[in-house]
Amino acid sequence: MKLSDEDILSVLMKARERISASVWLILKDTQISEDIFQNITLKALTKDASFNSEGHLLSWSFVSAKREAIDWLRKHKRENTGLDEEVLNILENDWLTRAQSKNNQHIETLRDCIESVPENSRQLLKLRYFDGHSCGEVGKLIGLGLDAVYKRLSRLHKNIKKCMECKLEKNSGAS
Amino acid sequence: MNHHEKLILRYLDDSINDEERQELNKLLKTDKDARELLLSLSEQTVIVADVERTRSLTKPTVETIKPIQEKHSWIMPAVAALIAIALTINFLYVNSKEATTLQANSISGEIHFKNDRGEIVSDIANGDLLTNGYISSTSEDASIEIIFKDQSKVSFFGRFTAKISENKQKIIILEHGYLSASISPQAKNLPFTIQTSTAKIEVIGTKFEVDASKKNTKLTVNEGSVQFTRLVDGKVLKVTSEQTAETKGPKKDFTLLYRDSQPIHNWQSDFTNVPKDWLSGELLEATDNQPARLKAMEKTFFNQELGKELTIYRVSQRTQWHTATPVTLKKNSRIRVKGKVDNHTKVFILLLTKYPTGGYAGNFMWQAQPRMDDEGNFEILATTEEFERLKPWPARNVAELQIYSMTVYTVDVDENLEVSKMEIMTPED
Repeated sequence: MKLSDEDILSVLMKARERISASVWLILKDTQISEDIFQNITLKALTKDASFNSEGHLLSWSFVSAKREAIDWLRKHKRENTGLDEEVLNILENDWLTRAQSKNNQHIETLRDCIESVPENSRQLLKLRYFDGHSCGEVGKLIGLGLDAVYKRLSRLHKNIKKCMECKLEKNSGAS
Repeated sequence: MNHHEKLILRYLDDSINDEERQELNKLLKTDKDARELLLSLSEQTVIVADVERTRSLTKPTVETIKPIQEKHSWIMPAVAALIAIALTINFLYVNSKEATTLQANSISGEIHFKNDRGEIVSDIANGDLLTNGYISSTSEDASIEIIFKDQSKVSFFGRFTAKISENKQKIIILEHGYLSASISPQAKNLPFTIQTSTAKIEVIGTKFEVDASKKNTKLTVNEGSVQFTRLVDGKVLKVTSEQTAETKGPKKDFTLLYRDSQPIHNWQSDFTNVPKDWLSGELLEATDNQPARLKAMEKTFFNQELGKELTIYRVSQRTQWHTATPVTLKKNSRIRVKGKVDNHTKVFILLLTKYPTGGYAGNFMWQAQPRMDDEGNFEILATTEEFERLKPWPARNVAELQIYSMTVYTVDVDENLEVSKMEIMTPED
């Protein structure tokens, strides 16, 4: 059965974070990732071909996201992502599996965990991922060496993952 | 932190060398856990950006009011669900009828429209009649006003995506974006309805503004009152003149904010501390010798005034956020732009304005070839009196209008425009 425009919007909005993340992995710019996600939404709504299932739409979206990210790099004469075509294809497949197997609660829990990190950790995440500073620049801004920034980020990512596992386990126990 | 993890962090930091790149590719081809880590880190990044964007837009609460029927907390989710179902059924019913026409007006920048037959239109002209359909833009300097048959008007500004329909009931599904509405009186049983991913807004007749993202909806009422329902729990607020409310907030309370009543007349761009989706252009970080700059990016769109496609190279920043005090122009307000270009060229400045009570007020443009130094640096200082209003021109002059965004651009040829500062200043004494 052909997906309606409302269905398309609903599926894409549920997968928004993962589609944006798949672009970010290549471009490492959250704003351009968001712009590309918007382009994909518009294309999906205005595409001549129809989507007959959620899987079909998601598959098309991740392929389009990868293509648009690579096109963006080419157009702006940026260095290649560094990842082989074969690796990008494997990752595209992983994103699709992830979008289909992990529900939105996973993303919401991640959001809760990120919102609850201590202030100094939040600053680190903000500088690195929202402001887009490199780890070296972050180090200079907060008075740490490069290795120390990597270590802190690594520890922070692990704590967020632990927080997620804990919350998801609690929720599954509650239900 | 093991070696693989560091390798991935270094890749995301754009600091791996060729040897490490080969090692990383080999690792990712064979190691599922390494790929899982890379995907998780990317997800975390996008959520960090979301959280920070939302945080930077949130102002402290001035007043908190208690939700309606707080005691029966189980009832409201059920009511919310029923409302959502009823709205959907109603939407499907009333919109299954033949679509009527909506009029497009005050178009500026890049606007796309997909009509109810699935056709895409990217060259909508002022006065065109549109059917029900999707309308969107990905430019911060874009706007369009939609006029309904009863003269209700809805203006969209900047980046947005919305589905609009007018039959027995007028319904807008605002996926994301900023709109300003002036609604004529509606039948009580068929209110003008705006649905976002987190709220339902029902209006019988009033003026208001809505800013919606996937996670939050903010409503500001300029005249009259509006019923604001938070979908997650069905809680309802009546928001009245000069009040603002948003769906994201303490879980048990639903908050009202107040805008500062005193207008401000000075503003300066800030490319590094505002949400990145307020900016158009490529952000160049500050160096020892230069401040942070925005580098112009190419945009091609159908230009209303010229009646043909136009390619511009532009930078833009949004100045308006409705929980913050809006920037209001005065007669002879001064506009200053500092930047750089490769060659002598004409530079354009565009002010996208709205009325203080909401609604599109027009675009105002300044153009000239600025004086440059040997390195291409220029500084433009102009007063608002030197700006010409563009068609369509709802407002006669810019005094007392609020600015939604400021855009600086060159036309046709890419002269590598970079802008380091945009400013609005009060008139000279």
